[in-house]
Amino acid sequence: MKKLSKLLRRNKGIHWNAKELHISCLNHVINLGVQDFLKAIKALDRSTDEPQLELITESDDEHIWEEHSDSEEEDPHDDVEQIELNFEGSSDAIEGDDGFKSTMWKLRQIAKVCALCSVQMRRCHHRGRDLYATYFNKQY
Amino acid sequence: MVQDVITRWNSAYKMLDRAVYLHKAIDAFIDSEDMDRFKLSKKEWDQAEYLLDVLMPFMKCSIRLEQTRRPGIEKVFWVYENLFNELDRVSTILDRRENRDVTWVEELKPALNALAEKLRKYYKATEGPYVYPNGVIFQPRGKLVLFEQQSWDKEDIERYSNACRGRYISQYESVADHPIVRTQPSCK
Repeated sequence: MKKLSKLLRRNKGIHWNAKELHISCLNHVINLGVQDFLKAIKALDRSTDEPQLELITESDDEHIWEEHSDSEEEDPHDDVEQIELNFEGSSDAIEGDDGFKSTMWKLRQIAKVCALCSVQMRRCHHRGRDLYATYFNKQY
Repeated sequence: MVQDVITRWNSAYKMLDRAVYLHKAIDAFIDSEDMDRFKLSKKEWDQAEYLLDVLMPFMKCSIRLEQTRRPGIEKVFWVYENLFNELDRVSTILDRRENRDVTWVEELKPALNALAEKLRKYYKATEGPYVYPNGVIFQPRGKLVLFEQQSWDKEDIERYSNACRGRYISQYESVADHPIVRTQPSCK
């Protein structure tokens, strides 16, 4: 918006104050509010700590959001051991906690268990196909 | 079951929504697999449902803002109005007599305040740009209806409509008096 302000002044002689008239993305504002709420009740997954980027800063034009790519398709040969390790690490912090933190942690672990089960099912399916090809000498 | 991811908007809501929908299935699954440390008590399921109630309006506003094909500047004031009203509603639920002895209620009040503070911080920044009230006034279905709500002061209607009219007179009316002259013949 600073660049737009400069262009308007230079090319059209229009004075437009980029800082005073800055328009924030409302979706980002809603996300920041919800993140603050979840952080206050300790319901966020802190195993991946991401810094929160505020929208009202010195350089308003540049907000770079780092996106983690979620893989849609899980490779049956990856991630199984990774998911299992996370169970061991997190449980110590939750013992004796009966607030929102433990509720969200339990739901997160249940989601991971379900993901593991679906990975195993796909792995068995792959294994089943390989066995079929071996014994019957043709593709399933 | 879906899992929340810190970089995915509304993922906490989606995880809670799916979990509450699958409440009985999850309980049966946990019992059958003998995973007691993941078993949620009635209190924890109540917490999940309350969180859903708090997060749902934010999720709905966020989805509606993403779905627009045209500029949605006229929605901004309406969205803030709805979100502040929803925050008041969930705070009222916490203050009910039957909820006062619930232990996790005390955990929620500062969190709701933090949420409201963040919204207020960015709402304050909408005082400068005149596109927000102008967008609301020019919307044919809305016009001045928003400023007639209880949460607005009586002076707001006059202030915003006078500012809008003044800006039109000073910046646009003179242009409107001089119609654009065509230099090329129009195509038949």
